Amino acid sequence: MRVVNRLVSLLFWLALAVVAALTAIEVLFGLLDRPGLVVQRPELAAWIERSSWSDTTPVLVGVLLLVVGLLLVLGQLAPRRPDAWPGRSGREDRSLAYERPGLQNHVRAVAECEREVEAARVRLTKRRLKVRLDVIDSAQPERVKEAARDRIADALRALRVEDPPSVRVQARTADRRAR
Amino acid sequence: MSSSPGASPVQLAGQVGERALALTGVLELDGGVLGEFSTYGNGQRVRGVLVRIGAAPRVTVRLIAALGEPLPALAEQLRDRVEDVLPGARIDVAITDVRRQAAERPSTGGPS
Repeated sequence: MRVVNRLVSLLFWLALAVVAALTAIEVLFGLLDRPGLVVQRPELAAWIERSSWSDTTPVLVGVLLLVVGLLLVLGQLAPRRPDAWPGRSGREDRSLAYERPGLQNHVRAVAECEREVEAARVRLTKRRLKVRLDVIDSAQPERVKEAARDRIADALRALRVEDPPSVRVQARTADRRAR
Repeated sequence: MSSSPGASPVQLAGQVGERALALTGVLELDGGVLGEFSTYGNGQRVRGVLVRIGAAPRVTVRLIAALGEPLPALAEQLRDRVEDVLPGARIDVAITDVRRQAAERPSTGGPS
C-alpha cells in the first residue's frame, strides 16, 4: 500500500506541476497580449459561455472527478497489512519490533530446519501466518506439518511477539505438487 | 565509552551505528529505501540510526540480523550498548530483515 500511495502521490504531483507550469505560461502570454501556447483562451472562453451545467461534458467531467475522489478515499479506508509486529522488551523505555521481511524470513528458516522439508513459503498477514511446505516424497506430510507448526510456534514464543499471528501450515510432497 | 557532552545527533548516531555493527548478529543497518531512517548532519549520513536529542531523547535503530541469532537477546545487547552512548534515551530497535551471514560484512557504521 505504501508503494501505491507513493505512486499515486507522484502522479498527482506531476499533474499539478504540469498544470501550474501551464498556468504560469498562459498568464505570462496573456500579459504580453500573445495567443496562448497550449490553451486557446478565446475559444475556451466562448465554449464556457455556450455551455451550461447540464451539458454532457461538464457532467461527465464532474462524475469523473467524483469517482476519482471516491476511489482515493476508499483506498485509504481499506485496512492495511501491518508492517511490524511488536515484541515484548520488558521495559517501557525500550521497544522491539519485527518487520514483515524479518519475521517471514525467520519463520521460513525455522520451517526449513525440519528435516524432511525441502522448501518453505511464508505469507504473513495481520492475524495469520501461512506456511506452505514442500516436503520430500518419502515424508508423511501430516507428520511434517505438525512438527513444523510446533517448531514455528516455539520460535514465535522465543521472539516474544506481543500478539503472535495464528499459524497455519500446509505440507505437500513433490507427487502432489505435480498433480 | 560514553557520549561526549554536546555531541551532535549525527555524531551520536555514528557511535550507535559502530556499536551496533560490532555485534556479531548485526549484518547491516537499514536506512530504508530512500534513506528516510537515517541521521543527517554536517554533510554526513548514518543509515539506519535515528537520534533525537533534547527533553525526550530517543534512538531508533533498524537492523538486518543474521539468521539463527536469538533476536530478543541481540536487541537487548544492542540497547545496552546504545544506553552507554545516550543514557536515559528511549531506545527502539526494529529488526527489518533476517539473512544468512555473508563472508564479508560492512566494516563501518560511522558517518559517511
